[in-house]
Amino acid sequence: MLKLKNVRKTFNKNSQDIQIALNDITLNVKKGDFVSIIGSNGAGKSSLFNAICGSFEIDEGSIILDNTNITFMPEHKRAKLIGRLFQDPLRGTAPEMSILENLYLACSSHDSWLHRITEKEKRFIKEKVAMLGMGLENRMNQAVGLLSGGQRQALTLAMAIIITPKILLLDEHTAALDPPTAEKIMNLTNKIVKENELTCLMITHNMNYAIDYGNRLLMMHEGQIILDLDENQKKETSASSIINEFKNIIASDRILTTLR
Amino acid sequence: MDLIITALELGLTSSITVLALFISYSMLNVCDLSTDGCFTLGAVVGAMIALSGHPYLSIPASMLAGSISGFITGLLQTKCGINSLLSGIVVNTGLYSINIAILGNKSLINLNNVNTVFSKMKTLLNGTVLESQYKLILVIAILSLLVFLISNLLKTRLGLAIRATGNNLDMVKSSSINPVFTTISGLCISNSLTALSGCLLAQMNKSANVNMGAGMVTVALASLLIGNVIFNKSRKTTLRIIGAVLGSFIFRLVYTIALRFKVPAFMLNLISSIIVILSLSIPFFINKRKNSNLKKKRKEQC
Ligand SMILES: Nc1ncnc2c1ncn2[C@@H]1O[C@H](COP(=O)(O)OP(=O)(O)OP(=O)(O)O)[C@@H](O)[C@H]1O
Ligand SMILES: [Mg+2]
Repeated sequence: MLKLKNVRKTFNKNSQDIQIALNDITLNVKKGDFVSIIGSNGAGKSSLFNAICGSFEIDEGSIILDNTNITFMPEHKRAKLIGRLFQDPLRGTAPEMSILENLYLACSSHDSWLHRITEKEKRFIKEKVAMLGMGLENRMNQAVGLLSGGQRQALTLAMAIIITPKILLLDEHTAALDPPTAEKIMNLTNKIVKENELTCLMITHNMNYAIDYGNRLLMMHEGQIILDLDENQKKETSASSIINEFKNIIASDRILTTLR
Repeated sequence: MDLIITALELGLTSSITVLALFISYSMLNVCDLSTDGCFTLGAVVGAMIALSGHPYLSIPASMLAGSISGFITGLLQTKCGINSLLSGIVVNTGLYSINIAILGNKSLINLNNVNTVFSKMKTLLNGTVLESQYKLILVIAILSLLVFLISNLLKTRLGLAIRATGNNLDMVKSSSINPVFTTISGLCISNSLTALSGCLLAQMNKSANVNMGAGMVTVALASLLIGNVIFNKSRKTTLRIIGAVLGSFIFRLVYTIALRFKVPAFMLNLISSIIVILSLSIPFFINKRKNSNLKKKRKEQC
């Protein structure tokens, strides 16, 4: 479904604070995979998503999504194929517009510019909002800015999948929420991914989420994928063993650099 | 009574510029500083075409000129990496020369004894009871049409996308909408309105000069902010649009009354500056007060 081949991205190339965000990433995600991604701060996890979404152009390599080469496709065009959630729950919705208007824009890419929301579309959108199970379907004309962070993140999720995307990218999408709300959004996400058989990549700093959800686990460090567990390997691991593994890898990395 | 009529005529004509700012400032969240020059552009283009004997053509022509100007402003800020304030200023400065060029290297043009849309309206209403108010009637007719069109436009996908562009750029991109397109089309629409406003004012006053747009952006912004006070909490777009028009009328009324009390005419710009400053800073200070009160409370609780 998603193929990254030798993707590289370096920031501030010609200056002293050179930052290698993605260092030769090769990744092959199968249709229906739910991949959780962990790694320390600055490991390049968000950069990986930015590369897939086209927030910046990569320096080297290619990105293929569902047999389409999207390496050079502009960001807003890729958005048709990709659903994305950010850590910041305010980032996915327009606060001064209503729930209805927000969701309409997310699913209107085939409508003409002068199209107005029809009753049929209203019903369709209301159904989708009702699926979130938060009672928001009764507040369709309210401004999104009046909702809580959790409610807004749930709406963003609905917007991301209202036209079934080829791939869903979740960038620590529960990190800014309080624990019960985070739990709720995580369950909702899992349910939606399963029901729609979505292919999904999820970045998380919550080891338990990374182990409990999904059928594959990646660990990133300094712009590289340093650990890749499949479903069976993942079942056998625990949070602490992954953390240990991480420490070992970093330690050996240090030894290597000192040897060099 | 005459006073109110004059205030209405002027207020409603310039309220078209307020509608333009409603689109660019309130919806698109761009402070379009090319407004002054674009207003004059509409005035001089309209005046020259009326002078050549085509009063009706003056309206679409000035709107076209305005939208070209808006297109350039939009292009500069989306495609050329120029900051949005600066692109407005640059276009505004450039328009000054262009406007003089359009007037044929003059800074003033007279439309006495020239057929204008208003004189056409007068002959149309000849003999009816409405004859004496021909200016007002034409302006109200045009304005009603515009309010209707704009409030409908803002409900279309394009209108929603323009609003979203001013609201949350990330959301627009992830909805597969090209923000370059929405920004440029929003500015084209708003600048065509600004130019129309100038075109009508020039024909109403039977003259156009290269400085007639000076300070227009602040005057219109002041009107817009007064309008926001009237329909503050209303999320209904149509009401907000009507609020903008009312704001423009109230602004003119206050100003006309001030003139009566021997406030010199050149004070208009100062008054509008003060209104803008007050209406933007008062909410800011109220917010600050609230926050510092909250802080105090928290400190007391500690
Ligand atoms: N736009 C940018 N300009 C310069 N450097 C950048 C930019 N984006 C990312 N980087 C750098 O790339 C590296 C990887 O950043 P990235 O945001 O991908 O980390 P991350 O794994 O998402 O970390 P976190 O867990 O903190 O979100 C960092 O060193 C960061 O400083
Ligand atoms: Mg990140």
